[in-house]
Amino acid sequence: MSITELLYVLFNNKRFMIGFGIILFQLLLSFMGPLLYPVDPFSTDNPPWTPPNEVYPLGTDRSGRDMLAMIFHGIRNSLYVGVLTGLFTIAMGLVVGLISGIKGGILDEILMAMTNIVMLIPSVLLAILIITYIGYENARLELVAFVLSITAWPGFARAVRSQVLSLREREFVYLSKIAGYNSLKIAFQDILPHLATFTLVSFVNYINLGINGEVGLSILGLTPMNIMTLGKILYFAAITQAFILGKWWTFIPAGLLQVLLSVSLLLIATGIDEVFNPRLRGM
Amino acid sequence: MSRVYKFIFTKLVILIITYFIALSIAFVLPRIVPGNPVQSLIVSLASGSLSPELLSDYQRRLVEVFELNKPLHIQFINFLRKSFTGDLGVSLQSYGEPVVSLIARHLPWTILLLVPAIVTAWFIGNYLGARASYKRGSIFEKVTIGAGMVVSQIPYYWLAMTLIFALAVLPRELWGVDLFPPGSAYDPVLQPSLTLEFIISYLRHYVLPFLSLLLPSLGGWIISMRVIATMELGSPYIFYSDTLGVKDKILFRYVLRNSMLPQVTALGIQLGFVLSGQIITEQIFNYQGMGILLTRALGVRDYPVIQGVFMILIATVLLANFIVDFVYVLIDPRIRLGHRRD
Repeated sequence: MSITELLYVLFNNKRFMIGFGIILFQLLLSFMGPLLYPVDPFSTDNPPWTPPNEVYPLGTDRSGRDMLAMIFHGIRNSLYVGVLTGLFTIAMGLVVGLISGIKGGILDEILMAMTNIVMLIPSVLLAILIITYIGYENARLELVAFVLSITAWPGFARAVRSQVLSLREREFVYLSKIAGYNSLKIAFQDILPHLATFTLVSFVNYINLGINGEVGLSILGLTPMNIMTLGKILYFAAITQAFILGKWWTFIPAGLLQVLLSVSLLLIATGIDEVFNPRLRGM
Repeated sequence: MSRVYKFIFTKLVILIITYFIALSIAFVLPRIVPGNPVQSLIVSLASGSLSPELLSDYQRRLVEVFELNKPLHIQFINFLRKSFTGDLGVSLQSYGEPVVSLIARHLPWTILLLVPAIVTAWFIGNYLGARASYKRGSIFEKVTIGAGMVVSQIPYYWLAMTLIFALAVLPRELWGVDLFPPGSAYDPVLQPSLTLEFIISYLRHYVLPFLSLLLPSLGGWIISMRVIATMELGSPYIFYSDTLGVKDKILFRYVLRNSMLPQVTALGIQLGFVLSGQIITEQIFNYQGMGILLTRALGVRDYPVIQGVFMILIATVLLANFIVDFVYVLIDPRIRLGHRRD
């Protein structure tokens, strides 16, 4: 299938299109928003606890931060953490899974034992421990993404390995071996292209994991204080007890946007899966 | 050695190795991180407003837990010995209470909150997921799956906030009704006891945190169960039974039972996720479990407590995983009877 054909099939998938549309809309919000509504999300010059009105479309929080500005900046940074987490996780998982599946033997045994162990350790706990000792003052968004992917890669690595194991027995791989190609070339030319869809779907899912993980760490106060993310918005709502005081505008919109983001990523992932994995169609 | 024992033995070995590695991480981290966090905590405490005797007391406790004045290998051996004998040091805050007794006070609340939510979500979610896949194409399926998909993506903490706002704060503001209390595990005027009054108060405080943990987890089970059950529905034995004219009810029971098996193992993995959601849930509900203990310790960098909570929670998750594996052996005839050759 050529690229245009691929895109045509994808864009004809209802789930993919809905998810893609929502993501596009949120991306647009996060990039155009700050231009059209140039308000500093950290500025505390506004009156506190203002409900939504003409001047402050989404109101302000206890310190007088403008909620709409916070959300525009928050979506962008949250997506950034998510995409980074996805990239890190995919990279680590692919390397380990490919080595394990192609090389086999004792190396495979060791790597798989490693994944078994990392999978058993609850991710948020490990992330908390790492960030506590590094110090949250030094924690950058990149570090948050990295810490989140440290515990996320084993599941993906195992899946890649099992796919490689079945691909390894196919004729075209044997032919490459007979032709004398080394394992690196076989990995890149014969095996990786077959993993493309699966990798893409996992990537989307790990973006989701990154966005959610960031919010979790933020609420515990473990992410950088000077960067606005969706998690930071909920953190401010949590420490000011906004939900008990009935200030709904400080956490309902941000949370809804996060749910929307997650659902659309899930829709994209299932859409891609359906298109390339015909057995799942019509489910 | 029969297959069952082999299976259990392997799992036990993995479990011990994993706990050992988790312990090693907890040991290595504070020592390799640049700038030595423990040392810098002592420095920052010194520049604070603490009285000299309190400061030297803090320093003594920190040095006691981390034993920074001894060679590394001695530190490690002592650390392991202490972890296995349950000596987790003394909290910097809380008037120097031992970490173990702090944890012993908080852990029961966490388990009471967590276990019913996880188990209920597992049963209801799997039943609904299997039902949805069995009634393929019906409105029931569309509604269940759609709702499951959305609900599974709702973050625990946001749901917690929204539930407090919608079911505790709003009714009071609008109609002056105290439907549910907005936080805490029980009425602060009561003492934990087995009286009817306390149990009722506990249950009323329990509803909201329970729901906030139950719903997202429920959605996850619905989604994953549907995939498994759909595959099960495609297997030859179902087709055969269907041709034989087996009743719908019995057929559904076949599908449900066979699809439950992989979900048992998934339960162990899910546990870690729910636990992490629960740490934050507790913070929002001000529910006096391990999550609150951890969050408070994080705020003041009470390293002995953070380290202790980390180790106990991981031990709990590992133990639960082991129990799940054990249950799996009991209910899966392929593992239980696999060694028989008749």
